Amino acid sequence: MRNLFTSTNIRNIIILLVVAGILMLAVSGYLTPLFSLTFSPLISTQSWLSQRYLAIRDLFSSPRDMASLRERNILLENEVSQLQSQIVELQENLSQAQILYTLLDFARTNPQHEYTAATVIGREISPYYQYIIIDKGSNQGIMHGMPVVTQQGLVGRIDAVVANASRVQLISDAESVVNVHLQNAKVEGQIIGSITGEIYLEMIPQDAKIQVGDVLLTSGLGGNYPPNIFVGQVLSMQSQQNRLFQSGSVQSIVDFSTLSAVLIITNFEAVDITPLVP
Amino acid sequence: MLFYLYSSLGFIAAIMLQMGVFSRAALFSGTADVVLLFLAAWSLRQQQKYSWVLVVIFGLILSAISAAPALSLLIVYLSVFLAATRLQMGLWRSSLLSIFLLVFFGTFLAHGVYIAGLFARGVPISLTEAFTQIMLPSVLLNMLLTIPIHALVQEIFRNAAPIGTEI
Repeated sequence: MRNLFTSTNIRNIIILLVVAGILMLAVSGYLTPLFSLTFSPLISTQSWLSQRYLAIRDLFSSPRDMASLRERNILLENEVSQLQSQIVELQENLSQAQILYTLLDFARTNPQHEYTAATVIGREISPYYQYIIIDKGSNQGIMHGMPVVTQQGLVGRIDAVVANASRVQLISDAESVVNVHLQNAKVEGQIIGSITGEIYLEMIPQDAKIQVGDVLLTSGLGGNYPPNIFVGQVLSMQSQQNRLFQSGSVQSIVDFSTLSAVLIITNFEAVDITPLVP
Repeated sequence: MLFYLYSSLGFIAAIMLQMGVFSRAALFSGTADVVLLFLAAWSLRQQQKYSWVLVVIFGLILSAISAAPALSLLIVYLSVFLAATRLQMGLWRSSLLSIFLLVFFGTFLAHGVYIAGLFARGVPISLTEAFTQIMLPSVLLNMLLTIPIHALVQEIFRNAAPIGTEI
């Protein structure tokens, strides 16, 4: 018992009681102002030290980050440009598909013929000749004289063929002559092209009553084109008393300047009447 | 050798551009003739002995592609080439004036040959219409494109065949 109350033990007990008291005061929140007062400078110092450290670390590591960010930016920019080019390509494919669908519709509504679709890849070099170049040739069964159409109407006929390309003479060419009949007036005539691409209606009898807007269809005479293909509409007519025939100008239904795809009628064989021409 | 390679590639590019782009871009009914422009600029720049062979080869190719009367394009291009060779010997060598002169008269020559070809085939054409609707717009377009094509050809062939080298 005497040993229990030695000075050392008493000191330890007092220390324990003090510590327990401080803990109880701390847990109960009575020491918070004291802690704040004590720790605030320490926290501020720690914060300052930490910020300076981070700033110094950024100073040394930021060039590496910038470089990686720049690389990433370049990669993303490349990706964006690739996606943009893909969008353009898809839009082009879409417009091409729309043209082909329209041509397909035309082929379905005219099942009496067999068709081969072709893309227009160029135009004649000389401005005096109205010709186009298409990407189908003898390897695809294309032959000289085959008629060429679009969903809108007559385009022309195959003039020259090589293995994988053909030259098409448009109906607006100065050397092109197409026999037509006017649906409303029930008369036959001819349409003739010109060096400027205008199309003229010729050989119309003087007594025929032709109205502006009358529809022209191929007559099939001469054997160069199948009958009843839409050609265009009468734009104007001139009739002179001292002439045997009326003449006029024709608005083609096909816009030759924007042709991008055509159909070739492959089951039609043109009749060559050259030996009969005097 | 490099000169002939560059020249062939240039001619092919000019033909493709002409058929694919410039023949579709019409002013009234006239179009620019990029092949003629390239030929004029190239002819004034070249100094090789067998350059005329290239003119003949590409003239024949174009004559085969075109609906114009056989060999008419070859005649036109050879004439332009020969005129350029004459100009090279003269005072206006490689100057802008030479190429303008060459393009101006070359265009008229080409159109004259086309019209003659149509007459020979018996196609009735109006000369007034041909002059106002096709010939004049074509000359204008050609003159407008002369400087850029001349500059391009000069730049391309500066490395391929520096002036003064004879291969």
